[in-house]
Amino acid sequence: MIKYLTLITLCASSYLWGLDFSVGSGLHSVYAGRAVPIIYAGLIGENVAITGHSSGVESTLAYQSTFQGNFFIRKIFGKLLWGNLSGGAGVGMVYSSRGFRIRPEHFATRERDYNGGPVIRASWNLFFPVYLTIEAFFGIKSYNPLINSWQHSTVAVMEIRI
Amino acid sequence: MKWAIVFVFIIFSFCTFGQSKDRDEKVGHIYLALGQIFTPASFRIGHKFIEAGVLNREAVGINVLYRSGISYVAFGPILDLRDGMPGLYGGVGLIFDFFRVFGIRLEFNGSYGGSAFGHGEGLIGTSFFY
Repeated sequence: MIKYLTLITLCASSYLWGLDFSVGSGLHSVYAGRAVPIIYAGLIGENVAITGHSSGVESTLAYQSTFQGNFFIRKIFGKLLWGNLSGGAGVGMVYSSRGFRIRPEHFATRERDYNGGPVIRASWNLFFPVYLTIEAFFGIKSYNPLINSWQHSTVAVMEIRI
Repeated sequence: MKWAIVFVFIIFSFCTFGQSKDRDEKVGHIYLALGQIFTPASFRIGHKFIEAGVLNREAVGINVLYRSGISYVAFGPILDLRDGMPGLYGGVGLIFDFFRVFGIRLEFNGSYGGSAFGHGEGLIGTSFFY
């Protein structure tokens, strides 16, 4: 029920505030690991964008769920071939939960963590409602960014804007 | 998704050099940048708004670079260095030009290989225009 209400609210917001509602799917490489499929949604305005996605995997021995929300200031930089090329920069927040057990009959250990930091996106209008987007998140959770070393996670998405 | 990326890679490979828009850029530039722990991560040779070379530690390829004031966006096809699969690259950054001779360029970018390797990197580098 909450999912449907969220979806209706997001759709309504496109009419209320003149934002495009974006849905999509793609792949997420969490903290530079192998990729898992994601569900992606966003509100895309002329100068701002709010996006979020969730990804997860589960087996009898391990699971991982990751949720990410981003806010971007965006700009259309020009036309690349036939479609607009836009870029954006902003801040994002990641919540990750994962568990592991040595044998299927054991209890799973559970770890959670939060991370926040800068995030960028580059999006190209492949054809009318379809956009190809790359989003990269750079987590700040320690002093590593001082030496330009970030906890990065990258998303490649095929999104459809309504 | 994998085949969509391959498709875009092929389209870009044939079309990006055919762009004829006149940009407010000098003819060429060389970009050298430091990435993680300030070690060399990117080396690109550019012609107007197209660049080719090592885009970050995990990707080689070409990208178009569109400027608006001091900010820019970069986008293009790559080959992932870990397994040689085609992929996509996107970056956003700032350029500060000095006398149109050289510039300081800061960039955050992300690359994504078709076989599902992703990499993000922050670059601090210098462009030399010629």
